[in-house]
Amino acid sequence: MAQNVNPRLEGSSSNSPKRSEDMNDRIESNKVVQRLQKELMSLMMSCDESVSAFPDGDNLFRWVATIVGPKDTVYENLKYKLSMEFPRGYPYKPPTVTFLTPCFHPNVDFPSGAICLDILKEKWSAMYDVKAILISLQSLLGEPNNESPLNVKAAQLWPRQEVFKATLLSTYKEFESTL
Amino acid sequence: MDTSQTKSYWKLIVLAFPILSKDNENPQQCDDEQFLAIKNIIVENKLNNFVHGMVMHSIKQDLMSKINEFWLYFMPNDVIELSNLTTTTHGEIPEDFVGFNKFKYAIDELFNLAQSYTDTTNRLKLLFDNDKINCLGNLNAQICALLHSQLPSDYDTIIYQFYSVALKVFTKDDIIGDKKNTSKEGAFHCNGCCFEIIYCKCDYILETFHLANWYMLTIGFLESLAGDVIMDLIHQKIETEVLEITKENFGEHHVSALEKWIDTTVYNWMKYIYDPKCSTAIRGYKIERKYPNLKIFMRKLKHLLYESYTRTRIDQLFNIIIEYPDSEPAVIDLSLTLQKTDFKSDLCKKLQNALHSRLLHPAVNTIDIITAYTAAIKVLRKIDPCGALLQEVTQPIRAYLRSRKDTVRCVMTTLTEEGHYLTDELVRNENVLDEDDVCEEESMAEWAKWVPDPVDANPSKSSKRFRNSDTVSMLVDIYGTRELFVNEYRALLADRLLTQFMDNIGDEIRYLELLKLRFGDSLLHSCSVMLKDVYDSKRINHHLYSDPTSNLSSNNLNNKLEFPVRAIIVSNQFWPNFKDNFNVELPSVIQKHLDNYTKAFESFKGNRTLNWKPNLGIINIDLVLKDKTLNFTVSPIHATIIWHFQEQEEWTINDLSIKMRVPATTLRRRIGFWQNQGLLREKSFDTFIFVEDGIPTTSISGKGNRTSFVARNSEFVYGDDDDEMESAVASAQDQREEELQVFWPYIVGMLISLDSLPLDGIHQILKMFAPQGTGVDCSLTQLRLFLDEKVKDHLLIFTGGRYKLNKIVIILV
Repeated sequence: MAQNVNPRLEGSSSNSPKRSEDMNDRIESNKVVQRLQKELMSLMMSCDESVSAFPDGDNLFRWVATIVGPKDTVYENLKYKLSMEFPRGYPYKPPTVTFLTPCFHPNVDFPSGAICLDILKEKWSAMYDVKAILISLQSLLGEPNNESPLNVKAAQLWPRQEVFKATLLSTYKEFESTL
Repeated sequence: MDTSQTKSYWKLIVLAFPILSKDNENPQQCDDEQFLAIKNIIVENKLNNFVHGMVMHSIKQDLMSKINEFWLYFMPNDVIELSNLTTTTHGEIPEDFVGFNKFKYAIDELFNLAQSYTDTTNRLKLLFDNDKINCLGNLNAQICALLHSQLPSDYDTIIYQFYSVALKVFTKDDIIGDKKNTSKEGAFHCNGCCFEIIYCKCDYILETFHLANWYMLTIGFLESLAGDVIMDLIHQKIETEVLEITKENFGEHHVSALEKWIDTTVYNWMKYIYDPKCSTAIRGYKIERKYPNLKIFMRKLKHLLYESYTRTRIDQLFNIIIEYPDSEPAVIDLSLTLQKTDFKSDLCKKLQNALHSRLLHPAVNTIDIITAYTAAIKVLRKIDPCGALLQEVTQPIRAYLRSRKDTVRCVMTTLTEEGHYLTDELVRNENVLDEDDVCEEESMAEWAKWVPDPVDANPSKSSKRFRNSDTVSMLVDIYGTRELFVNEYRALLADRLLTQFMDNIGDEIRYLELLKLRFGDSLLHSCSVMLKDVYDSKRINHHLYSDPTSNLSSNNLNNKLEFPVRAIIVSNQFWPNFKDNFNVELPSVIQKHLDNYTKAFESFKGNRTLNWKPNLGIINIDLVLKDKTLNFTVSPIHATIIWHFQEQEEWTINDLSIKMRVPATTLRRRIGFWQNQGLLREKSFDTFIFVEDGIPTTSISGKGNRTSFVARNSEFVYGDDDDEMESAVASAQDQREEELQVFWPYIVGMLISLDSLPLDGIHQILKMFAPQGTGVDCSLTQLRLFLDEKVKDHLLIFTGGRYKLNKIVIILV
């Protein structure tokens, strides 16, 4: 976990505890903005259409991402929207990622869209960026971790791909029709 | 007191003051001794106040009956006959002179009338011991009041005539010598009085004039009766004088001369009127010096002078600006007088109007507008150093220049043109730093010299920028951004480097350094690279031809050079994009040379190669005709065209177009050049033949090469392409389109996430998140054009005012 601590913040806060708390906060949020802007730029320039993300409205700390289900899986050609919320401590703290489009998946809580993925929790590293998260999620769709399911029904259905796909498509269509 | 005593007293009083008697025809008057006795009686009986009241009343009655006659003179001619006037004069009488005389008689009569009461008033005065009651003053006031109560409507015409005649006589000596007496219809007329010379009335007029003024002063109504007219006349005189002097003449200082004129000529005249030195008027009267404050009056007149000068100059300001710096004295004069008057807003309005009607319309060249703009900057800065006026007035020019497409190019051309005044400006202001915070620091250092904006400045806009900026920054500020200018400069520089070929790199480097001082290093980095490219190319060319190991060197036996090739090797990244829509197919001989050069370059530079842009560059060719040799320096396309005519004397546009791989329209334009030279002729539609001195040549021979194509120094450019006479480089405008492409991924990204967005939404988001440092500043209109282009390409869908991605495309991806 040591790597997930902002070295500058730690150093300065011990030296001058009160004076620059506000200042530090401003500088930090400025750094986060810069980092997010850079990530946005690299994402935009990567020209990978299967994963995409963009700030929602004028708030740079809240993005809407889109991933397309990977080929040769039950999720092929299905488009999922996610919301990403970046904390002030980003990238030393992971963003909060949830599915906006209801996703029938063993590791995704069905109504809420909460995701169980280690790299978004305890295994987060400041080395990851938005693109890495999105690609991980994309691959998670095809390779769920059935050991720790959030959606038990989906975990049980997963071995029977045909039935799983039918259930998946019916939930997806149900959602699409509500649009 | 009984009646008989009263009656005797009354008789005595009437005897002392005959005016009280009812029998006006034959008043009896007592002598002074009698009066003294009578006076004592009156004083004893304390009747003095009563008598005074009675007398004054009678005088008033008397005046009222007589004063009408005074105004009769002011009536139009037919009311009163002035037979006595006309008989005494000779020749034609100017109309003004009639008025002059009328006024004179009127004043004479009035004076006599007033004079007739002097005895009465003098006696009246004796009734009182002290001088408390000013009988004479009362009388004069009485006269004035009565006169004014019966004022006819057009009373001042005659006064006007009176004074203008006098003024004319007075100023006749100012008129320059030989023009003094103008001859009209054979007879000489005096310039002063307009009479024929022999009957010149000037002296008479002056004498009368003094007398009349003196009379009026004595009675005390000069000011009230004629003050306005005098003021008016002098005002007119000043106005005409100013107009006369300043007429289309901006090259001299006039204010001091005019001041002097006021101080001498006008002052003298004023003195004549208000302080007449009339010899005949000395009759024991002391002239009441009511006008010792002639000086105040003169100050007023001076102010009038400044005002009329300022007004005239403001009307001419546009011309003054155009003629600047020849009009410098006028500008300095104006800046002086403007401080003393209150015409700034007037100046603003008038100059803006003039600019609108004379400068800011389509018929004026951009370069002229820029010249006028810079002149205006200089003039207005002289007039108003704080810059508020400048900002206000030039606002429309800047707005207009923004709307012109070639503004940037014009500005940059003039800035870097040899010997142009703006170039001098650029050189002169070498040390001007451009960063705003530097300005701030500078002003902090000079805080003691700070002056606030004038009260009439527009408070909403800060004039700080205009205070410190010089002409060049004012020009650059038209758009508010430097990038635009730098990009255009880059295009211009590329253009010049590609067409002028290495000749004056030194100058270019100097300009670049100057511009760097102004715009900063980072923006002009690519320009330095371009110049370095050109410099390096020179070296490489030299090296390739001199290095014995190179296959281009003269030692190399298997290489018979028909002509040398020199290349400009440019770094694609740093040069502006070239217009690149086709590449001309060069004759194989030429192409072989280019390939040779490429090989030499490759062996010299290791793993690099050249990518030729055969459309660019120039070729120096000699056309060997039957009896003469013609030398041309032309573009490769031109040369290729004429080259093909040496193999085949007749070409159709289509065949040639296929052969050269050049679009037919372009080809036709280029052929036009050779047609003008008389070497090609359009035989029939779209078919051209070669002509030698007007005679179609059947064989153009010369040792196998009929037209020996000796490209001595053919330079080709590795980079991209050019379009005849026009610029080789895509202009800043064209490049923008390409720059906008940067935004495309962003637009796609946001539309994937946010589904659909209106135009300004996209613009807003781009402004927030798009990469800043690229120097791309995209306006709403440009964005719309760009997005519409994408809609045309079926990448976007536009419905209900919102842009959307075309879903099919996305899913296919």
